Amino acid sequence: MRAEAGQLPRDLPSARSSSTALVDAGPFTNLELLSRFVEAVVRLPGVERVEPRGVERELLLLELEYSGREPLTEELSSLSEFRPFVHLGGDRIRVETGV
Amino acid sequence: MARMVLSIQADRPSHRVRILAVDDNAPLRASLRALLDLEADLELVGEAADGEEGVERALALRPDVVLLDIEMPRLDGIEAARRIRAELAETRIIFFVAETGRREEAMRTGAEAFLLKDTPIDTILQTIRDIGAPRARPPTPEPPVPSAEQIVGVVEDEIAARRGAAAERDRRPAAGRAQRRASGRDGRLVGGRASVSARARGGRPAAA
Repeated sequence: MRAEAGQLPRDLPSARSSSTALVDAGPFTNLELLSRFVEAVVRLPGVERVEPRGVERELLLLELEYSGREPLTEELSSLSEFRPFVHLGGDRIRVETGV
Repeated sequence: MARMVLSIQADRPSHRVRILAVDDNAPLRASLRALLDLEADLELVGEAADGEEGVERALALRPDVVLLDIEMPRLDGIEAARRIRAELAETRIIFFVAETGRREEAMRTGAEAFLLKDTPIDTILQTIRDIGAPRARPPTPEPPVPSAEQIVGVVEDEIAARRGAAAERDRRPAAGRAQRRASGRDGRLVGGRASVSARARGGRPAAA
């Protein structure tokens, strides 16, 4: 299931189990870039819900529900527009953007 | 415990700028919400996805600031700004747009600012703070600062006045004593007082 663009679905699907992930992403120097990233994450296959939790020092904290077949890190690495370097850091996934 | 409560109260900003975000782009609204969530002095009080809804929400919420996109379904941001301005004189409008195309038309609505969405985040926050801050009263003119010569003159006048008053006080008791001595000699004041006393007692006035 793919979340609709421009929509942030909150209901979880019952068919496949999903897990919650925290993603730190950035730096984003402006809000347009940041919201484009959120929109791109919403469109990733398996992403059920995306909730931006905060922005601090150009870093975005996202909470999302994911139920895709591929590891979420791989899906995030596919967001080539943002030239991401994705790695695990503590309890969250870190996406260092190169834009 | 009490100290902690006091500390929390001290950290609370005296004024929170209440913001309404009107944009048909949901990820942008969500990003804006995330951005404002961590700013203690800024509060996103509402969101709307088009101009029509934006006007309705503005009238209901009476925010300090409306962040307004232009290209939106149902009613565009410029017409929404006109309607909001007509109803809410105190609400300030910041256009928050992807391109500069309709800037002049937008600013003719009486909007306070026109920001592009690729404006640095810090600049966006500062612009909202500046525009959303309570309107300052016109400054009260400061009283003129007297020159050193004027101050010296005032002090000298005061000293002279006090000396004069002191001299007058010194002169009056002396004059009174002298007068009483003189009156005693000719008996006018003593006799007058004695005659009143004598009448009051029912006696006859003393002979002069």
